[in-house]
Amino acid sequence: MAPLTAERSKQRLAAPDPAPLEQFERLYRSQFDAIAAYFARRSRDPQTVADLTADTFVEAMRSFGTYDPARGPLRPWLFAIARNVYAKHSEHDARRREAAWRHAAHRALDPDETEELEQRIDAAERGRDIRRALAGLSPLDREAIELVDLAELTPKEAAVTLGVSSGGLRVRLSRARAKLRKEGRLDA
Amino acid sequence: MPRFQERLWDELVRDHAAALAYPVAARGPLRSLPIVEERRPALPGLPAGRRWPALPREPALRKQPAPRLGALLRPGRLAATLTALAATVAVVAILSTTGTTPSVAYAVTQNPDGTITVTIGELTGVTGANAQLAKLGVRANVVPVQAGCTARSESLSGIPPSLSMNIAHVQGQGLAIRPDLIPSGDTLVLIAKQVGASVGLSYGLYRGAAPACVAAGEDHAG
Repeated sequence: MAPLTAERSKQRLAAPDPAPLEQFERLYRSQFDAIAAYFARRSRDPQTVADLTADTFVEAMRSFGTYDPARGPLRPWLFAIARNVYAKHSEHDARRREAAWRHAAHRALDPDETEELEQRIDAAERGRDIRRALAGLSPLDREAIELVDLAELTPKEAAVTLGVSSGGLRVRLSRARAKLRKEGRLDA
Repeated sequence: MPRFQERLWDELVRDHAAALAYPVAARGPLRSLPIVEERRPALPGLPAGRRWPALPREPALRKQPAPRLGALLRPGRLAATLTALAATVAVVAILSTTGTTPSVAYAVTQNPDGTITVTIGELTGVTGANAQLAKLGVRANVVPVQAGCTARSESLSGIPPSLSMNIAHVQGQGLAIRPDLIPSGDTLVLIAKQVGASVGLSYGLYRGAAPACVAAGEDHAG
């Protein structure tokens, strides 16, 4: 955690309890790359990646007080939020959304930020290729493969994220990988 | 830290950090906030499985506008599907009229997007609201806070993010919920508490049936 940022945060907020903020900052710093990559695998538009990443952390911050450690670790909890954010994003009318986002793009990101996000998007190229290769799988199988093989969640964490049992998740992984191998889309 | 990452963090801290202390209230302002603040003592952390709307204690926080998504986001975009609710089916009970403003005991509104908005204006409206929720097949119950309540039910200590992030305060006291996201076997309990002249709603997730009431001594309104 960057001490200066934490200190600045406390001064701004006069927050009643800095502990949750520090906990959340640790989560933010440790998982930002993974969440940004999650969306970079879904969009090549820096503005879209920026918005969805921001939406995820905003929602996570607003829900942080309801997080219960007994229900599982934070990472799958955060990915579940990211998944919901993307689902909501996908529900919107694509044409209107893209038009609105293009209109606002230059207002929201400065050139340095755009370049930074473009680098993240480029880095996610292989992930996008893999996602394309998974196109024949069911959505849930596809997400299971992605979360475990690309986002590097454990199968147990991926199960929590997807709201399925660990056993069910392993079955999905096994079935999906077998299908990909059979079709020559996955190295044996 | 990369520039965008740093900037987003600053946005989060500036606009949303208050939600870390008061997670639910960040979803929308409550009409009864000033009244609640006067009545509530300084209480410790929230009870498991139950969250009261944010009640900022610091004057500086109270003057802040409702949390926004920040310059990086389209304002309100994330919550738009929950808050821009056009009612198609609504059951409203009006108990009395004060001046020109009718007092609504309860309202249960089924919205086109599948959400249900529950508003409790008077505690006497709890029964009617529950009847309407049952009629709609929604596994949610409004439960009043009552002094001396001894009802017991198994409260869950955590709420799935998919559910909590789809519960929003709307139009002051109402809560908009997504019935389809309530886990199987659980009941979403909307806890109604009289605060001054208004009724505030918080929520919790209970395994099985909802309790008949929630003890006043356990309601850490915070």
